[in-house]
Order: sequence, then structure tokens, then C-alpha cells
Amino acid sequence: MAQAVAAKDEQLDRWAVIWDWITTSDHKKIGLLYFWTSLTFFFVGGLLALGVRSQLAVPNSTMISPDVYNQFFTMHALVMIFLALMPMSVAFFNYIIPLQIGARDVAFPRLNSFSYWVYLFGGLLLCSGFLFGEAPDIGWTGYTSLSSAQYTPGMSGDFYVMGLQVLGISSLAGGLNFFVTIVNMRAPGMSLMRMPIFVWMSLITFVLIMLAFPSLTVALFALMMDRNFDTVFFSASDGSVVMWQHLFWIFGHPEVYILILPAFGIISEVLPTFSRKPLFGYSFVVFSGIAIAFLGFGVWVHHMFTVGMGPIPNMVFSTTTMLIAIPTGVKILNWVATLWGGSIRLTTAMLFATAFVGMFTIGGISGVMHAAVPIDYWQHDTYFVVAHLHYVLFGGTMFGLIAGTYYWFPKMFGRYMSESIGRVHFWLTLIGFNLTFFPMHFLGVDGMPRRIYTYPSDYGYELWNMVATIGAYLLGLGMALMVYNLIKSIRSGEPASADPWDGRTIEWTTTSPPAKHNFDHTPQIRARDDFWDQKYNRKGEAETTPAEEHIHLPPGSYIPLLVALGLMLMGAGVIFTLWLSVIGGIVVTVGLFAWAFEPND
Amino acid sequence: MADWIRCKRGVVLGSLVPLLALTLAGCGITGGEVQSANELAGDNARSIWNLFVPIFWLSVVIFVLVQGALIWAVIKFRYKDGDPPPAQLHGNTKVEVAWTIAPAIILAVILVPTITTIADLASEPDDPYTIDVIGHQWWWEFDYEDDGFATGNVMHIPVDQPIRVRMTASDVIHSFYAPQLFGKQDLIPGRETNIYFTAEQTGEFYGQCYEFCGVQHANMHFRIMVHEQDEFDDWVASQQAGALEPEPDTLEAQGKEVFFQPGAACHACHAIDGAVAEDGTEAIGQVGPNLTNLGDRPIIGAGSLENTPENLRDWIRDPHESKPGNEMPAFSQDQISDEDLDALVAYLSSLR
Ligand code: HEC
Ligand SMILES: [Cu+2]
Ligand SMILES: [Cu+2]
Repeated sequence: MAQAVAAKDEQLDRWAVIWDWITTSDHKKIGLLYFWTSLTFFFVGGLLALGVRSQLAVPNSTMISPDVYNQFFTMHALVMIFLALMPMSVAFFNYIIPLQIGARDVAFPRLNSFSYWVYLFGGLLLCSGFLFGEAPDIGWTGYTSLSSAQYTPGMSGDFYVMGLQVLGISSLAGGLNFFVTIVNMRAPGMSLMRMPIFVWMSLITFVLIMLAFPSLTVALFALMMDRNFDTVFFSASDGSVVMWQHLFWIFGHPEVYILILPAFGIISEVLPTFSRKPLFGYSFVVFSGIAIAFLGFGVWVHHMFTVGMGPIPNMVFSTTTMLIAIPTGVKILNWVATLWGGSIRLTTAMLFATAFVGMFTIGGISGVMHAAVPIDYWQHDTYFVVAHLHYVLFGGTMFGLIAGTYYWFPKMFGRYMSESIGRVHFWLTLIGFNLTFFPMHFLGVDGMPRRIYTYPSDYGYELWNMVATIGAYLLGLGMALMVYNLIKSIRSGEPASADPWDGRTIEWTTTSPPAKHNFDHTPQIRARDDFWDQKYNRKGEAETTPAEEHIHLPPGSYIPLLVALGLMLMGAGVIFTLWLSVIGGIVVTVGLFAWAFEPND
Repeated sequence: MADWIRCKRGVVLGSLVPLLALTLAGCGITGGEVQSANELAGDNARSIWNLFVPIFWLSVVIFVLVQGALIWAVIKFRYKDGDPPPAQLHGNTKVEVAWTIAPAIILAVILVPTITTIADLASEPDDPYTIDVIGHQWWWEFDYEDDGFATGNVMHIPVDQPIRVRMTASDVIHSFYAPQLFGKQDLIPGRETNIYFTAEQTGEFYGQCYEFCGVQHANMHFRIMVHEQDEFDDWVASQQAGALEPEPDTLEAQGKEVFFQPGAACHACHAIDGAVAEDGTEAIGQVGPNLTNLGDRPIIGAGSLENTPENLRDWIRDPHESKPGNEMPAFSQDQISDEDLDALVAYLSSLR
């Protein structure tokens, strides 16, 4: 009897915990939700990549049929870009930004939880194509007229359109929310030029998100209309086939910076901490970030050099693309200079951050090569470009995110990640990564096109494809080791103090993990790298406002989840039957009213 | 302090070893392949390569300098137990201005030849020989409009004669690229794009589609045969004359009738210039490649198979065996008997 009651209590408890996570508006919990979800999607994307690599290991392979292969490579890209890398950055935005600016939460906590649920549901909607054997198979770029209803009939194209449309809402909401948070909620004394670089790079990212995503939204909307309601936006005779590419890349190029800038920010925190030196040329790094964002909107045509726009546009966009290499180069040199004369501790986080600089440099250099238009006439749509983009997105973004994981893990969980496993993880990843992607440069030179499900045996592609496949499995092993390390360290990692790395920024002043309200006192910022300044220059006297008695924290709410669900239904309706959209629309409308009138304490 | 602080120096150096090894191996092995961009046989491809080489070496220098500095810093400036914090250097404006200007200069140096090469490749040569290329899912149509005939998947051109490839697509976007001869351009439905080039050598050159165009994007190869001018003129004359008429009462003659018979009806989709059935039906279908000189082509199915009688048989029986999802239907025993198929294959193979 008593036992039964206890069991029931436990069950109640469990439901309470689950309910708490579902309704939470705590930025730290939402950050963790983002982290684990994006990590899961990362492995989905990784498995798809292993499918692709397995098929390409030998010539004339029939392991995977062409239509399934096309779904694999398309979904690999979509999952990695929209469901793994971007949201993993968002995990750090959520967890770290409020801590770094001395805030108690984000500006709009319920909107924050809304972003997460839209991301989750949008991701599931996008991936659910696999359940029907009709996942998107048109490349992540979804070029018209291939993506039109005529050449891609059925649901696969609609999963692409509606999945991305729903996900875009999540990104826009998040971008807006964090932009306002950073602008309005910094602790007293934290002027813009005292902000940690991670906050700076994130701020720039949010501006990019807010300006770039609308272009994708418009493009997707027009494609949805073309596919489902017989409009002719992208028709060859009555509209323009190439217009899609413009709209897509006006979003797509800034998207590259949306993916890489947060990683720039992360390693700009990691490198100084483990060199025990401030970031070299803080203002140069900030302004080069702004320059990159600005120029980032003026280079999209470099994805379209071969569509035959004529020599003048190609010359202009070749020039702007090369211009963007200048601020990028400045950043790389500043990172190297940060290490120079430092006192370097090679932790796993530091290893990944340094490797980031090395790998990203390779991706940057190959990027300058195809910025030279005639070279792009050769390299475009070959494996050379596949190599380039993975040096930027894996060797860059992913290495940065891994560095961030090792770096902030003690703050998030109060324990260190195992450094010995971490080191093996690092070397496996670095070697696996280079074995996979470096040979793709050679395949590109040898003229191997991207997005082909097989290749003939007499073209000389065998060796490097085999090497790349072996590398991919090593890389997969390395990443699996990271998950093992995460789980093991959460359970039994060495306990970490509030300031495990001798940190420089104020997230290290709170407990690890931080209390629900983050800071007992609102921090007073006196300098850039304020915490370091406190420890070494101001000799420990922490400046705070008077103790606060009533700390107001926003309550949880289930309404954001409800609205997100409604949005997913609206999207799903376009794919299956429009009645679902009507139901979804009602849920969204009712939900938004409930949201507006929900009492706020 | 914990032991994460210490790490062997050799390990760091080790990070460069796989990269260097790969680079060296790559330099040795790349090249000499059928679709390599560095086995040059056309002026267009040569300008691209000539632009690439200096940029490549510049890249190597920058790569070595940056990676070298990075690795050197990691090795040299290592923390030792009890070290006090190093000097808190916040930057150095002079140095930073210098390394903002330096890349700008390097890029300007790259930009000049880039722009002249763009202009070069886009300028129409005097008096080019024009061939229209139309991309289809998933094969190539080559129209020799001035000379009044068409062919598919294998393009013939004269050497040392400026060529203008005028392109469009009938369905989705494709991209035309033969790495040894010229740089790629897309084929876009509703638009016209051009490539100008001159082949510098005779021979057979490989190319394929480089823009993802659906399920059989991988099997959309083509060949370019470069001939001496007189040889090319002969070829043009033979194409203009149309298909050879088989001798009466031969296997080939029987095969020709099979081509038109109701079970096969190949003529609904394929053209064979000059071939007329007994009942007067002409072979002028436009859905698939023109077959007038099929026997002369090294490949069938846009490179899905080598052109041999057995492969041709297999292709007609089931084109989806070697090229799943393509637009040509399979032909069962009921539609074409084994005997008829032998005759058909004999006829098609005889077409030059
Ligand atoms: C419904 C239209 C259609 C019919 C009927 C048809 N074909 Fe085809 N055929 C095609 C298409 C389309 C292709 C191009 C396929 C590809 O490579 O993707 C093709 C390709 C070929 C090729 C390869 C040509 C090359 O140069 O690569 C041959 C040979 C061929 N067909 C022979 C035949 C014969 C023989 C018949 C009659 C028994 C026939 N076809 C009936 C549509 C058709
Ligand atoms: Cu771009
Ligand atoms: Cu193609």
C-alpha cells in the first residue's frame, strides 16, 4: 500500500518534471533543450552522410538506389544546416548570452520557448518525409524548375517548402528576441564595446537572421504557390527560373555567416581564456564582423556565376566576394596574434579552437579560389566545392561548437568533461575530418560532379572516394566518442568550480550550474573582460548593486508549445490536406489570444 | 594543476602530417584522368588553368605562413605550472592596419587577371561555328542548325576552329562542362547561354552534366570528338545524307521494320534521318536522342553503358536496369520478340 503510494508520487514527480521542461521559459533549460535536440539531429544528419559515403566508396555501386540517394544527400544538408548547426548555436545563445551580459533571462521568455517548439516541430515535419518514402530529393538549394510540381510531383517538394517555412519562423523569432535582449538587457556598465566577443558576433548574427530569412520566406511562399496553387512565379515561359536562385542566395549567402559567426564568437572566447591574454585587436574583430555581415549581402551571385548573367555582374560580384576575404583574413590573423606571447593551456576546448583556425583558413583560401569567376567555371558543382563548404561548416562551425561544448560544459553541468576522452575525440575528429574532406579537393580537380549517386570506374575517382569514406567512418567514431564523453561526464565528471578555467567574462562569476535567477546581484561592469579585471586588477572586490530581494522570474507557459503545434499543422496541411491548415490556423489564433491575455506572474 | 595542461609538443606537430601527406599524394596522383581540369586541350580551359596556377601558389604560401604561425605559437607559448599571466596585450593598431592592407593588396593582384579572364571568356570570337545544345532529363541534344541535322550525346567538332555552344534546356537546369576543353555554363529553360572555345587537339574528350537535374543526374555524360577539319567535313556530309539504307533481305533491313512496328514504335520518340517504313511512316520522334549515327557512338544512355550490341540489347529490353528512372520505356518479349530484337540491334549498330 505505502509502496504503491510512493510509486505513484514518483510518477507524479516525473510528470511534474516533464511538465516543467515543456512549459519552461528559463533560458538555460531552453538552451539545454536546443542542445540535446540539435545533437540528436546532428547524428541523424551524420548517419545520412555515412549512407552517402558508403554508396560512393566504390564506383558503379548499387547499394542505395538513385532516388533514395538523392533524398539522403538533400536531407543530410537540410538536417545539418537547419536542424543541427544553427540550433546548436542557438543552444549557446540561450545558455550563455544572458549570463555573459548579466541578465536574468531573455527579453521575451515565452517567445523563446515558442522558438524552440517551432524548431522541434518544424524539424520533425521536414524529416517526416522519410516516413512516406518521400523526403525532399531536390538538393538543399531546391532549384526551380526541378522543384516545381511538374518535375518533382508528390509530397517531397512540399516537405521541403513547408518544413523550411516553419523552421524560418523559429529563426526569425529567435533572432528578434536575442537582438532585443542584447540591446536592452545588458548589465549596468556593459557598453557595447565592453561586450564579450561571443555576444558581439551573436548580435551580428541576429541582424543577419532578421534581414536574410525574409528572402527565403518569400521564395518558399512563391514556390508553395507554384507547386500547389498553379501560380507561375518560377515558370520558364511566364516567370523566371533563375529568380529562385536570386531569392534563395540572398538568404543563402548570409546564412553561411549566420552559421559561422557564432563559432567565430565562441573561439574568440576560448582562445583568450586558454592563452590567458585578451583577444588581440578586439575592435578590429568586432568591426571586421560587422563588415562581413554588411558585405555578406552583396555577394550572393557568386553562387550563380555559371547561370550566364554576362561578364559585368560576374566581375562585380567577384570583386565583392574577394573584398569579404579581407575582414575574414583580419580575424584569422587576430586569433593567431592572440595565441602569440600567451600562456597556452591545451585543453580539449583549446585544441578544437586552434584547429578551427587552421581548418577555417583552408576553407577560406579555397573560397577565394572560386571567387575568381573563371576558376569557378571549373570548380562550381564539383567536389572541390563540397570540400570547401565542409572546411567552413565542419572544420569551422562544428569545430567551434565542439570547442564551446567543452568550454561551457562545466558551467552548464557543474562538472568537467573528461579531458582524456576529449583528447582522443579531438584527434579522431581532426584526422577523420581531413581524411574525408581533403581528398575531395583532388576529386574536384579531376572533375567529379557533386550530387551524383554513382560514378564510372575509369575516371580515376576510386582511390580518393575510398579514402574519404574511411575518413567519414573515423569521423563518425570521433563524434560518437563525444556523446559518450558527454553522458559519462554528466554522471561522474570531475566536479567543477564556478570558475574552472580562470575565465575572463562574467558568466564565470555565477555558480556552476547557475541558479535559476542566474545572479544574486545584478553585476556592475567596469571593464571589458570584467571578471579578469576583477580578479587581477581590482583584486577581487566584486561590484554589485544592492542585494535584490524580489527577483521576478517569468512563469512557465504551455501556450507557446500550442501555437507552435498549430503552425506545424498549418504547414502539414499544405502537404496533406488543407483541412489540417484550417485546424492549425484556429489553434494558432486561439493560442495567440490566450498568449496575449495570459497573466504574467 | 590537472594534467590537461600538459600535452606533448609532437602531438601538435602531428596535426600537419596527415595534411601534408595528403597534399603530396594528391599532387602526385591528380591529373591524367579523363575528366581532369589540368589535362588541357582547349583555349578556354587553358585560360582558366593559367589563372588558377598563380592563385594556387599564392594560396600555398599563405597557407604555410598562417598554419606555421599558428602551430609555432601553440608550441612556443605553452603554460608551465605557476607561470604568472602573460602581458595583457590588447592589440597593436599599426600591425592590424598592416594586415588589413596586405590582404587587400594580394586580392587586388588576383582581381586584375580575374577580370580580364572573365572578359576574355565572354567575348565572341570571329566567325565561330555554332552548335546548339539542348539539355533534356537526362541526355543531350546537339543541333547543327546551319548544316541541317541533329545528333545526341556525342558532339563532333573541328580542331582549331572557334566554336560557339549556344545552350538552353527543355525541362530543368543542366550544366555543360568538358573540363579539358572549356569552363562550365548552365543550360536554363527559357534562356540562352553561350560557351566559346577552340579545341587545340584532336581526340575524344569527356564531359557530363554538373547541375543537379533529378534522379539520373549522375548518368548524363557526353563526349566531344575533335576532328581535323576535312575529317569533320566528311562527318557533316554523312550526317546530312541521313542514315544508311540497309540492303534488302538482310537482318538489318528486318530490324528497320521492327523499329517502326506497333509493338516497338521507336519512331514515336526517336528520329533516324531519312529512314522511312514500308508504309511511309517517317522516323522523326523528338522525345529521345536522334539515332541516325548510333553505331558510331561510344556510349549509350548518355554514358550509362558502353555501346556494344549486347548492351544495346539490354538497354532496349530494360533501360532502367542501367539507368533507373529515365524516360525511355522498357520493351518486353511481348512487344519485341528476341528474334526481332536481334534484328533491331543489328540495324541500330549499323547506323553511322
Ligand atoms: C517514350 C519514348 C521512347 C520510346 C518509345 C523509345 N525510346 Fe529510346 N529513348 C528515349 C529517351 C527519353 C532516351 C534517353 C534516355 C536517357 O539517356 O536518359 C532514349 C534513349 C535511347 C537510346 C540511347 C541513345 C543514346 O545515344 O544514348 C537508344 C539506343 C534507344 N533509346 C533506342 C530505342 C529503341 C530501339 C526503341 C524502340 C524499341 C526506343 N528507344 C523507344 C525515349 C524513347
Ligand atoms: Cu556565398
Ligand atoms: Cu544534371
